[in-house]
Amino acid sequence: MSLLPAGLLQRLERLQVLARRTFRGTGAGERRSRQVGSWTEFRDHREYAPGDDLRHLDWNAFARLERLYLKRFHAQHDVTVHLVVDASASMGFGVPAKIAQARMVAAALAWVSLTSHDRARLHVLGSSGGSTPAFIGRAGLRQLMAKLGAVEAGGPVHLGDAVTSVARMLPEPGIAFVVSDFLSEGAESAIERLAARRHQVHALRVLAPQELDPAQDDTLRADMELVDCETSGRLAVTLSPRMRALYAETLAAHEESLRAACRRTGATLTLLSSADPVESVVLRQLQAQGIVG
Amino acid sequence: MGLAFPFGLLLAGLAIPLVLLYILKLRRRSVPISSTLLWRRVIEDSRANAPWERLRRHLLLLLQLLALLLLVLAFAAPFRRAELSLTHDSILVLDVSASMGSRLHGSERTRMDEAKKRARELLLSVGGARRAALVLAGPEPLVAAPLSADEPRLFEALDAAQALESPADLGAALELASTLARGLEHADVVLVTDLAYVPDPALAQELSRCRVVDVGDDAENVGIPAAALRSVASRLGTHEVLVGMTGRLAEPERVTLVLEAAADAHEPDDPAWTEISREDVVVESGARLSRVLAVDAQPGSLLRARLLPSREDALAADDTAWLVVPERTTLRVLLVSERPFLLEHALRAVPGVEVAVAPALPGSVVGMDLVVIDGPLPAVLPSAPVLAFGEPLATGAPASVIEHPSIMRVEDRHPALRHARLHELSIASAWTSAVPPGGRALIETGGGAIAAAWSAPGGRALAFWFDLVETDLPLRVAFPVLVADSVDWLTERAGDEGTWPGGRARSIAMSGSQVELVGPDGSRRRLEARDGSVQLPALTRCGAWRLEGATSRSLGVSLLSPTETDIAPRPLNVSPAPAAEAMPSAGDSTSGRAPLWPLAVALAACVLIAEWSVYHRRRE
Repeated sequence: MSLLPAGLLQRLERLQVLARRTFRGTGAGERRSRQVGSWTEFRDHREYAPGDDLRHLDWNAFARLERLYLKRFHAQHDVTVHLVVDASASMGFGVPAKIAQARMVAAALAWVSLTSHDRARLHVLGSSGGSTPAFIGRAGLRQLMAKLGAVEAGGPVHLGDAVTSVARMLPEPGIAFVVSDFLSEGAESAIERLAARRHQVHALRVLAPQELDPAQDDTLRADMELVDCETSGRLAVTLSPRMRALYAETLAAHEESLRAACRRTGATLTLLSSADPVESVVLRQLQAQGIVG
Repeated sequence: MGLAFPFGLLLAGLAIPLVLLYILKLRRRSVPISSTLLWRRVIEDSRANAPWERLRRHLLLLLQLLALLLLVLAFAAPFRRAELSLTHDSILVLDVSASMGSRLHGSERTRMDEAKKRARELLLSVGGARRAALVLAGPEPLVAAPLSADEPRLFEALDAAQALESPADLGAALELASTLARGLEHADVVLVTDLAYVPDPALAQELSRCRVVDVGDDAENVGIPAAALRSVASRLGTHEVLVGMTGRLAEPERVTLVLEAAADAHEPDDPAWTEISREDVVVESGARLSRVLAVDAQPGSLLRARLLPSREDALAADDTAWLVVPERTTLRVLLVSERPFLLEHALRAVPGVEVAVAPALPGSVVGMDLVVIDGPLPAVLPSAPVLAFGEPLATGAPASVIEHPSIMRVEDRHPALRHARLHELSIASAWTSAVPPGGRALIETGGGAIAAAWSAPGGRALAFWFDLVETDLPLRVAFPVLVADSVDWLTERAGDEGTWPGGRARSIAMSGSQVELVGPDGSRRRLEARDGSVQLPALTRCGAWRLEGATSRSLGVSLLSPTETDIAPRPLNVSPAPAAEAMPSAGDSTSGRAPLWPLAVALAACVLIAEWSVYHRRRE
């Protein structure tokens, strides 16, 4: 649990990952399901048919109407929250590193999910990648946190392809958080592929302050050759005020492209800085966007 | 617009190492970043929106190349034809040196014609209330027209001006003009010249105070800048004629060198010429070429060496060297030495020298043409020219001894030293002393002068302040050459041996009291002879001159000036006062050279500042 401040954990226990629609759960939970269940929340009546469970007969209705009606209830199921964490080499950049912020945000969401009786699965994209089974309840928290703590940035990742692979493995739709810098070709397709599998997608974009404003990066000066840490591609750049302005425009355009993909798929896009405190991210930004509540 | 020194543009080749250094230096610093995704799009956008962005990456190189280009341009001395007109009292200095007689390229007009035309236009621009003077810059400056507003008189003097066949002393003429202008308020000094001059600091100072109207052009010329005649010691009556040739040419030119002898030097008006030798030679631009021609000729014979160019030749005055075989005279030389072996042999090798040896300097040296002293110089020099090897004058500043002196400079343009190579002379010890008043140091070492020449009461004096046996000079080929040249210079025999450069005044031994100087054109001028010599004025026409008196003799006068033969305009590395500011156009105007190199240097400085600024902005 050392990923998150102790004070934050108590506040997270009062939160729940909000679903914008109902999902077919795989186990009992606190969420209403589209399935008809035998639980506590009344849904409607139907006429009795032989073989029905006599315990669900509405005797009050029989007394008034002298006809047998069966009471039906909403099923209460859990939801699987998929935490897709981009651990490519690019996430290791920034001060503080983007991967650290990604770990903390994912840990906070896992905490919220598991303490509200949802399932949580971790999918790590990168050289330390892999998917965990779904963890349930507080018992799974320790294991999930341990997995998250071991996530390190490294290796190249094509976000679109990697997310597509993850999406294929998931039989049931759920709530998918994609925590990434989205500085990869096919970033928009990653959102679209997950949404196509009926997941409720929340894209959390983490950028370092130096990526948001190159002027804050002391290493970027005058004539230089930028080396892509994932592809090793080289690019000669002569940094000038005009180039900085163009970078800002390009960054905004890229963000708008992601936002457009989200609009098309009903997903959300949240922009985070690796320097933002995790409390602020979860309790303000995610709550304000109606992602947790 | 033009370039006074177009060869300076060759320095543009420095751009090659500049680019190479730039390429070597432009190893961009590798900066690992998370992703180049956004930066690639930035680069694509910047190239799409600003096609010059690629150039912007190399802005520093472009600025450096631009600065280099401007500096190279400045070195090539660009100039523009500036409209000049005279609005103040003016002193017009007209260059009448031999090169002004050169024909303009592709024209029958000469530079002098062009100079007169320009000068006339300038004088017309003076206006009625303004005054002008005309100074002719020849071997000696001459005020052809004093300061006045009398236009007819000025034009008459201008029309009468002719290019001479001698070099000019521009510095003296400008100094005279400055002196004339000094008493006037707002007077301009304007020099009309072809800029075929010898640049030197003093002249540059004078030029900086005046305006220059340049009439030079790029015409081609070959000529004889040097000629000498000497007798061959081993064969009586045989002489050698040394002829030097050079040219200012676009490409090498084949010329014919003809040596001719006049049948009778005493009939100079129209002598019959006998061809002695004829040789084709190829002259290259700027290169010196020399030929030694042997001739059997009697004393008093008139010789001429002619160059016959194969192409158009701008200047004719330098195509012929006139020489007269000297009358056979014997020089009587007294050698004062206790060990005369070395000097006696060297002196006896000089043609026409009769040597007498004495262990000590006698009380009188009457009848001696030269005294050679091998030992300390006496306090009082003998009444004859002196050549000395030894300790300096006892009456001068105290001499100091220097061990193994290193020779720093040799005045090898001095006639006595011009053929001897003394730079590598090994000297065990020497004396150094102050050069006598009016003299000049000929050899200078780190410790001071060790040879000097000056004028003494008895004639010229030339002293080498070292003991011959303390040096390796006697072992060198230069030793007999040095002795022979020293004898010629000290006894002033050189001029009597046929070489008489035009424009140089000098005295010449002549008996009788009345002497007539007869020019090549037959003009006569009466001169007075005193104490057995006659002072000749500067002779500014080439050809055979004659002195007629109790006896008569001929003089071969030739231009013999490398400066005049190289008729190309020299760079004007001075900044004349701005023409437009002080001389607004008054309708009648002429053009001069306004140098643009200061502008080019200023622009280069601006570009370098911009480059510096860009460099530091990028580093921020």
